[in-house]
Amino acid sequence: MLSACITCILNALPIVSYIIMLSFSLNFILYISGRVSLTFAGIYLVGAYVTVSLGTFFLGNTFSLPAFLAILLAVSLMGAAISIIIYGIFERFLTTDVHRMIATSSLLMVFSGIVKLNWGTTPVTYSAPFLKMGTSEIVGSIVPNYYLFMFGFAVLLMLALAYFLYRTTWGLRFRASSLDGDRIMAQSCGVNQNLVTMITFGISGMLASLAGGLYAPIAGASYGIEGNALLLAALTIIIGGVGSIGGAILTAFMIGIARVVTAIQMPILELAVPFIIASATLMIRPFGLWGKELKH
Amino acid sequence: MADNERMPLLLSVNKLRKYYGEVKSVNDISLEISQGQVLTLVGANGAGKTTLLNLLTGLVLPDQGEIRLLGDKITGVPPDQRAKRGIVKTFQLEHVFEGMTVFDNVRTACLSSAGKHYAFFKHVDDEREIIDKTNQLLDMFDLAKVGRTLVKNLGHGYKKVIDIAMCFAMKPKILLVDEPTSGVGEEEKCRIMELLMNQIQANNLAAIIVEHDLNLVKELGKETIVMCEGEFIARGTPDYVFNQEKVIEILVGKGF
Amino acid sequence: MNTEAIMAIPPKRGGTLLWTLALTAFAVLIPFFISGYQRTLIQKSLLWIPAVFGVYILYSLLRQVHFGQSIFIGLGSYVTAFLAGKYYVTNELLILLPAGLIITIIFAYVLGIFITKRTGFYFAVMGIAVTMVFWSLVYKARTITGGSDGISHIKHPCLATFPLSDLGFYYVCLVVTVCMILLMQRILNSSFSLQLRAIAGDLDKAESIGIPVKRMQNLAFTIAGANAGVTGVLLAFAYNYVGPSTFDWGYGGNFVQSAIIGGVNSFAGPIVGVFGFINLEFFISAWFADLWEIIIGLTIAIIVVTVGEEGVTGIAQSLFARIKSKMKNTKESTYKNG
Repeated sequence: MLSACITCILNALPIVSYIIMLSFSLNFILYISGRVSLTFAGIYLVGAYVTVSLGTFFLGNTFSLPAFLAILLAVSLMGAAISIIIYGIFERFLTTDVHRMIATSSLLMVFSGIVKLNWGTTPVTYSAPFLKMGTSEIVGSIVPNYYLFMFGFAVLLMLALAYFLYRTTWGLRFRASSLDGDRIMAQSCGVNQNLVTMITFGISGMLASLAGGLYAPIAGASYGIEGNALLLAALTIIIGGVGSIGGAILTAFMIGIARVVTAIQMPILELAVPFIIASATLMIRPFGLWGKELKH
Repeated sequence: MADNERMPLLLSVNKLRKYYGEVKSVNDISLEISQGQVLTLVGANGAGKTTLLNLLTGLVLPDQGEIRLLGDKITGVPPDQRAKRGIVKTFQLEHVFEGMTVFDNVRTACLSSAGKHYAFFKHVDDEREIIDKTNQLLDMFDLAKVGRTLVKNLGHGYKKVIDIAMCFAMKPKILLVDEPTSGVGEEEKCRIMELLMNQIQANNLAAIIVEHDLNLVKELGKETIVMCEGEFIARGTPDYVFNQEKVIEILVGKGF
Repeated sequence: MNTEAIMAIPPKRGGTLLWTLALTAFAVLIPFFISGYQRTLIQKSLLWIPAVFGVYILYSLLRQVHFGQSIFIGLGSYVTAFLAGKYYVTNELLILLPAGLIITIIFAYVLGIFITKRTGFYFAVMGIAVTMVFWSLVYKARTITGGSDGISHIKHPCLATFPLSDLGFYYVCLVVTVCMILLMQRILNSSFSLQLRAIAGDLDKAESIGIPVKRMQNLAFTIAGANAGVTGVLLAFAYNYVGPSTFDWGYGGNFVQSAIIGGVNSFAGPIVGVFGFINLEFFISAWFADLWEIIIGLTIAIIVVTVGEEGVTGIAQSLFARIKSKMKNTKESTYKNG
């Protein structure tokens, strides 16, 4: 029984880390800048494809950790750049959340159009890191090392983010401008709102493209995966609430394990289970399990 | 006082309590109001006046205690139901439907009080009774000449009056008025107060009026309650209350 | 021009009737002048109109974006496909339309409880989530729904036991759409809508004057869903095929995009928007097949960025107003000079 549980948790690790990064990519924008953006899903899509292309081009079937990390770094910088550019172009024209939602959902179409044009609609794969990293044994269950690597990477990212937010002066500026703080007050205390929002979008793009890059060796990249990413990230925020790193991680575990279990027991309900959890949360605590009651 | 006792008891509040963390916003307050009774509520900022009104309308739910309207317990009843039963509140910062005309603002309130929520197929302009009632209310509050103006193009004073007119459309039994004159010039202040008091008396309503302007409170001369840190500390006529030592201590520096 | 101001004033009476008459006259006569393929395009546009009106209602009354119209289109379509195709019961439109409507209304009401619980981003995302859940259910339940193959061989419809030709079905669609437009006009002018506009303006105040906010919002959502249900039932016959792609959230997004092209501040918006979107889609996919997602996506983004929610009808209105005032000015000046 115990070993079955552990196997289940270990198998859920990749999807958990994927949900952590994606949901926090969205959460960060919602919490710090108080804006809405769906472009993170498009950046995730591009991140996955670019990782696959770079990986097969530079590494092929061989694998070396530093080179893979370098690819991930490049991908994350690209994601941040795309996110900041889109913010720079569109933000000044968009005044309400409704407009932002429609505009960014149209941009998602553009992203998937570009991917279709460049890579076609057949899935592409690059599984060398996953295959070459080997496996290890934890309490009797065998787990690919890549799972552990991916989870470790996600947790480290979250720790770094938490350190940044709660221990540095720049983090204080971010929190002062967040939904818990007061943007106008922060601005009158000399916090450059434009810069804060821009960096927020940059970090969000970085997390989204890293999620794509890290998940690509396991699942490959295929046309249309951005819908799933958007769904899981958004449901995580509905369940966990906005602005809590711990809450996001716990929710990610909840959804990830629920998905792994249903995928084995009842594959037909794989997507329905997170949705049912989210609906139940909305009825009990409309602002999420760990969320604070916000203005809207 | 003797006069009021013959009037039926409208609202009774028993040991109502609401804490926000460490702050005791409303601390075990009990209160009774009968028909036709007007109370003025004064107190420094953060004394819990607005919280008390929000508890009564149901926008905030209490930690403890109960509220009874005409003997029925309404502690857990949602705000829209309470409004239908006759507890209606105006807001401190004017809450009006900014993008609609004055006429439509009042008409919405009339429709709601007539219970016409689910009339899907009848054109709004065909609801003759509602339109008549709306016009009547606009006349009552001197708003007829701005009826077709969008509310957001009007000044603070007008918005306050519209807010009050919408409350009257609900056929209230007890009116909770949260600072009807805040952010309004001296002259308008008196005009709004006069309109309000006239209508309250004409309809024989009970009312709780929260007011910052102590001169105005004195002028009204109604029974006054002083609130501090979630508790009532003095109650009586304005002259009596404002001469109490602890009241002066609290309200000192407030122009009194 | 201030959008909020226009939103709040219900559409004028009479104007929409003229629009609808013009549209009807056009749609009645056009089949005699065009090929069968062009007729199916117009038929598709007509059928989209109710669904887009659903988005329009939620946008103009609740100020929410509804990406989930595909849920109800899919439900309507699958009900039709089951009853008139796979588990053949009847192909009678007079039975199928009410059946589809009842099922979509039930689903819309129940889902609405969750979806209208929150606003803004969460509302939109719950819409997307529901479509994706339905998509995965339909995709994976192969034995019942045929999975990715979908259900084809839907019997041709008949109306009051008379079998319909393609042209006859076209006219049925026209009649249904015109009825739906008139119905929507009634609803948008009703006291129900006035109160919903008030809720969108100030929720706390609306609650304090006794408007049952959540229930009314849920009913608006249900009306939107029922509209899409009608579209769904008829689309299943029009395509003679139903597949899981009806539940695609991108497909639901197309209805939002149509509404945005047309503009959500005037009653003609959805009608103009649908014709605009479907023509755009047709020409772009004919000329640059690979680029159509990019072009449509960029077009919508540019429209939102430049004119917001005014759309084509908004631009036309402000142009018209400008010309009118110019003409007035010139008249006055000539009068003065003369």
